[in-house]
Amino acid sequence: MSYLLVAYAITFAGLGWYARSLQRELARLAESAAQASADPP
Amino acid sequence: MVEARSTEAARVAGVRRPLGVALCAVFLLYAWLVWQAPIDRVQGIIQKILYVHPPLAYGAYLGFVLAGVGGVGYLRSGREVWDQWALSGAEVGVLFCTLMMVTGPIWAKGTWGHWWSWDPRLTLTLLLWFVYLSYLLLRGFSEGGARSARFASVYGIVGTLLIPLNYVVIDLFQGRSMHPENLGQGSLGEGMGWPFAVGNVAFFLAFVYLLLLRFEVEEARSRIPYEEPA
Repeated sequence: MSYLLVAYAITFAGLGWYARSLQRELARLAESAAQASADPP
Repeated sequence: MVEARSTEAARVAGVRRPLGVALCAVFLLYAWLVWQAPIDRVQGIIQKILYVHPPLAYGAYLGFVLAGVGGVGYLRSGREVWDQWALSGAEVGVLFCTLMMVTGPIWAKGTWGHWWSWDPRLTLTLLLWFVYLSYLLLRGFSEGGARSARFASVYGIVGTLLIPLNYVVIDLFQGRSMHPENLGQGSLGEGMGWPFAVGNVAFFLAFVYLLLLRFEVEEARSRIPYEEPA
């Protein structure tokens, strides 16, 4: 049972961690883009 | 000045958000079906790794195929968007392959009694993982631009040759492989078909969600000319 739980926990933690990292990166890039647009050319 | 978000990125974001909601619903159904699934008489409860391990493998294959398809598209058209899809597919594929490589040995320990065996399927899967990990390292350490995109495209196309080999290797080494044979019609026990099918749908949707998100990140990066690493 413990092996099974570890396998599922690692899988969902891995997928969740990756999704959160991408969302954070996307938010950071959107912020950078907004800042760059606000700067005078 | 930074260019506005591309039409393609806006369309991708429009698909990804409702997909996230559908994904949550499918995963709830998946969790319930896995909970209800019968316990295998021979392997015991550890056999329920079946509902996570092969779907991860299919996701890995899909990501690597996409890296090859994106490579072909880029070489034919020279459009950056193909290269962005290729890179996104490779990265999500490596994530799925890594998780598959983690869940497999856990299953092996519970059934064979040891974590790893230099079995043809396992060895080729490890090789496949190294090939695409190298692809990501190549992309990460290169300066970008058309030249490295062209090289990565060729690399991604050549890498896909390993995928069919990885799938049929068990048939090629008949009886000499520890890894169970590829799933076929009727090879699942009674009551195992639905959780397996819904598991495949759930992981496929998770793959698509992550792929779209990764593409959005890549597209957003391409619009910012240069920035210091975070």
